[in-house]
Amino acid sequence: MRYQRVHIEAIAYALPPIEVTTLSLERMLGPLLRRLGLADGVLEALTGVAARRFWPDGFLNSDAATLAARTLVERHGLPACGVQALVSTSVGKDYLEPPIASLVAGDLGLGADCLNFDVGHACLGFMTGMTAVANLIELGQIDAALVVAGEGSRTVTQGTLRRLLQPGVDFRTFSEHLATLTLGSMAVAALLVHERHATVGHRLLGGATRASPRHSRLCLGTANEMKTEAATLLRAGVDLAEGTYAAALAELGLSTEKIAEFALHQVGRANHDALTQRLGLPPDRALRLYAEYGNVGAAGVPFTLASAVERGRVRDGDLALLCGIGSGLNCTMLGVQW
Amino acid sequence: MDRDERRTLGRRAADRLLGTASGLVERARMRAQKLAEQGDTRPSVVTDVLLMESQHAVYVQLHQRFTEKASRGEGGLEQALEALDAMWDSIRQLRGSAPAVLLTLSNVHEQVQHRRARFYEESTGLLEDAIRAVFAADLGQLAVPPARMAMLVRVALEGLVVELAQARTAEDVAEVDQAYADLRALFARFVLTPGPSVEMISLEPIPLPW
Repeated sequence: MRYQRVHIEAIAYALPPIEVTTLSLERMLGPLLRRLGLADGVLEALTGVAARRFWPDGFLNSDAATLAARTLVERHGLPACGVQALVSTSVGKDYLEPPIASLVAGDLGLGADCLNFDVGHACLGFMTGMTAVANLIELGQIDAALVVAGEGSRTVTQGTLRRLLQPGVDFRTFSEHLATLTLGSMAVAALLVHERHATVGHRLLGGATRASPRHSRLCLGTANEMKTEAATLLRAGVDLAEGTYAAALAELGLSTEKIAEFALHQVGRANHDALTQRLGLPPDRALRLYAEYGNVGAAGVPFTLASAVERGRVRDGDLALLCGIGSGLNCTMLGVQW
Repeated sequence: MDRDERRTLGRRAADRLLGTASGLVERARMRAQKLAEQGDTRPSVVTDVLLMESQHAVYVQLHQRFTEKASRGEGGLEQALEALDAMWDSIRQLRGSAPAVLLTLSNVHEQVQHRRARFYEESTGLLEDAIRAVFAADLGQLAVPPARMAMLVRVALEGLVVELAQARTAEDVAEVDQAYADLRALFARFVLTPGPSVEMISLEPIPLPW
C-alpha cells in the first residue's frame, strides 16, 4: 500500500476536562482490594496507568468527535476545496443508528456533497479511517476528508466499578475486569487532503496491514464491560505486529534507523515494553502516554503523533511510523513523512 | 456441638485416615521394595500413587475443615497455626513412611511423575484456597500473596519430611520437631505485616488488551 498524493494537512485533539487518577479508583475499590489482599498502588503498579480523563456526564462520543473537529478547524481552517468525506472511527458508539459520522457532520454543518460513515475497527479504527479516505483521495474521487475519533470511558469504568463492588467478587473476576479500569477518554481529528490542496508537506506514505481473525474472541467488549484474555492477546498482538512491521518496512523501503518516532497505540507498560522489545524499536523513540491518559482506543495513535509533534520529537521532514493494533486481531502500520 | 467437640471430631477423622494410609503404605512399600529387588518395579508405582492419593485425601479433609471454620467466622492467625499444626501432625503420623515418601518423590516412572505433578498442583491449590479463607479479613496484611504463601508452606513441610525420613534416633526426631516449632514461631511472627507486602515490592506489569 503506497500513496503518492495524500497529505496530512492537520491533526488536532481535544482533552477531556476531568482527570481521574488510578489512586482515586483504588480508593473506591478499597473494600474489594483489601479483601483480595492487594495493597495501595497495585493498579498503577500492574498497568503503568496513573490517570485517565473523563468527559462530563452525558457528553457523547459524537460530542467529543465534534469538539476535536472544531478544534482542528479553528486552528487550521478547512481547505478551499471543502471536505468531501467525514469518517468517524471511535470504538464507542452513541447509538446503533445513526452513525456518529452523521451526527458530527450535522454538528459541523457539512453539506450534501460530503460522504459520511463510521468505521468499526476497534482501536485500529482511526488508521483504517485514514486508509479509507487516503484511497479515495489517491483515486481522485475526493480532495479532502476529515477523520475523527471521540472516545469516552466514563460509562464503562463506572459500570465496572459497580460490578467489582458487588459482594462475592473474587480475584479471577477482578483480573478479568482490570483492563477496563485502564481505559481513558480522548478526541482526535485529522484532515487529509490531495497534495494539490496541501499547504504543509506532511505526506502519508502508505504502509502495511495484517489480520489474525483466529484471535477474534480474545477481547469482547460491550458498552458496559470488557472481558479479555489479555496475556494471550498480548502475545498474539506482538506476533502480528512483528509481521506487519517487516511488511511495512519492506513496502516503504525504510529501516528502523531512519524512523524518528514510532507512534504506538497506547495500552500499558507491559504491552509497550513487549512491542518495542520484539520489534527492536529504540525506547526513546516511542513516546509513552498511557501513564497520563490510559488506553484511549482509536484516538491513541493519532494523539501520540500529535503529541510527538508538539513536543518537538517529530520535526518537518522526519519520518514517523504509526503503529496500531486492534481487537480482531488487526494491525496496521503507516509511514508519515512530516 | 461446641467448638472443641468439632475440633476433636475433625482430628479423629484425619487421624483415622492417616493411620490407615500410613499402615497401608508401609506394608505395600515393603512388598514393592522386595519385588523391585527382583526387577519388578510395577508395585512401587502403585504404592507411590496410593501414597499420594491418601495424602491428597488428608489435605482435602483439612481444607474442608478449615474453610468451613473460616466461613463460620473462625479465621485469623490462631486458626492458621492450628491448620499448620494439623498438617504437621499428618506428616508426623506418616513418620514410619517418611522414607517411602522420599522414594515416591524421587520415583522417575512417568505415571508417578504425572501424578506427583498433579498432587503438587492440587495440594498447593488447596493450601492457597485455605489461606485465602482463613486470612480473609487480613489478606491485605499478608507478608506474601496467598499463592506464594502456599508455596512457602509446601516447601517448608516437604523439607521437614525429608529431614524426618533421615531421622534415625529419638534425638534426631526431636531436632526435626524443634525445627517445626521454630518454623511455626517464625510463621506466627511474620505472616502478617503492617507494612507494604512483599507483593508490592515485586509487582510485574501485566498484559492489557490492545
